[in-house]
Amino acid sequence: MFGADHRGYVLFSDAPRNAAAQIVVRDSVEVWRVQTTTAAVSRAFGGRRERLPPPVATTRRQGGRVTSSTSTSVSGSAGLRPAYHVVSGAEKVALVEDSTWRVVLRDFDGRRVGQFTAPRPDAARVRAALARDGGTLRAWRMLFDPTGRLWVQEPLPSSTGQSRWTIHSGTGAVLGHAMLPARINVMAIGTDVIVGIARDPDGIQSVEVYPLQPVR
Amino acid sequence: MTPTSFVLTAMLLVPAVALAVGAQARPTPVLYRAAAQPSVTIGDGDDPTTILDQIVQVQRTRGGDLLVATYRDRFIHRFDSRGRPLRPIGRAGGGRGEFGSSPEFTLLPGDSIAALANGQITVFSPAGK
Repeated sequence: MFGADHRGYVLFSDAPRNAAAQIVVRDSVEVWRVQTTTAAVSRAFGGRRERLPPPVATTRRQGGRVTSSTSTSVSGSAGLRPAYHVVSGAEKVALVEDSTWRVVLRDFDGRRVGQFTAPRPDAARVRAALARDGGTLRAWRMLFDPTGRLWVQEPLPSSTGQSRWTIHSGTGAVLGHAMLPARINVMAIGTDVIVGIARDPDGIQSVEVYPLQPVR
Repeated sequence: MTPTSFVLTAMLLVPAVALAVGAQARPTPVLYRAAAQPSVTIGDGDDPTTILDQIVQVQRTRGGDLLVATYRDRFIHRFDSRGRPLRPIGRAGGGRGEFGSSPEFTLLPGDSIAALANGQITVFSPAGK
């Protein structure tokens, strides 16, 4: 995923293609595609640009500088690991650590602005749910909405056809929940819609848009 | 601790603990629900011009258009807010505005599109030019 917020800050995340790095840069677009380990890139977080491999693509305006970076890893272990280890939006970056499930929120100057611990998937419960429902688990996922709130998907499938998401403030506080269709991989959250990818039993993919209704 | 101070301490602590427990027990509200059925579906097989395979990325512009990148296609699919296909962004090739591999993309301010392919970033206007 190659993403940016509305003011042009750019985050590159390559989860579907495995093993890559993401760099958040102020006032510029910089992309690193490095085959490296999670630990190696994590060590570079907040570090000096010179420690990183050269970017494969760069467009830069005056004042561009690296403010943070991290790594991502495979997305195939559905439900047991995050689909994306890092997401950006609304001038914030959220990073999740595999080992602790701690999500750290940073601004684009690299300052920590909040953190929380995401619900850790229970492997036994995930397997039991798979055996019971025979369905496909959706990868654990988090996304920013346009207002800077972070939506975090709960890792277990739901027998009701809906998946529960927890909505966090920009500092990590829990604001509430959202119930979204479990049949889609949610790719974008707007102010009034969500957009996701569905797959039918024959493997045909489709993009689906669902109206998002506030609960009063 | 004297009996008086014990009573005073208890009088202060009990309401505080009760408040804290009450706050923890309060369920967090459901703020949003998605509609039960999609308002737009693209690529469900009904229309051969909108078949999508191996979708990598989906973004929605502020104007409501949907941009879709796949592993297979060397261009970015573009649909309006009702799911009708629009002119794709980029095309296969090695020239200006062309992709030598399947692109990834991001939306820039004003809905310009920065597309990455073969280590090069190409910036398209919101109209895809």
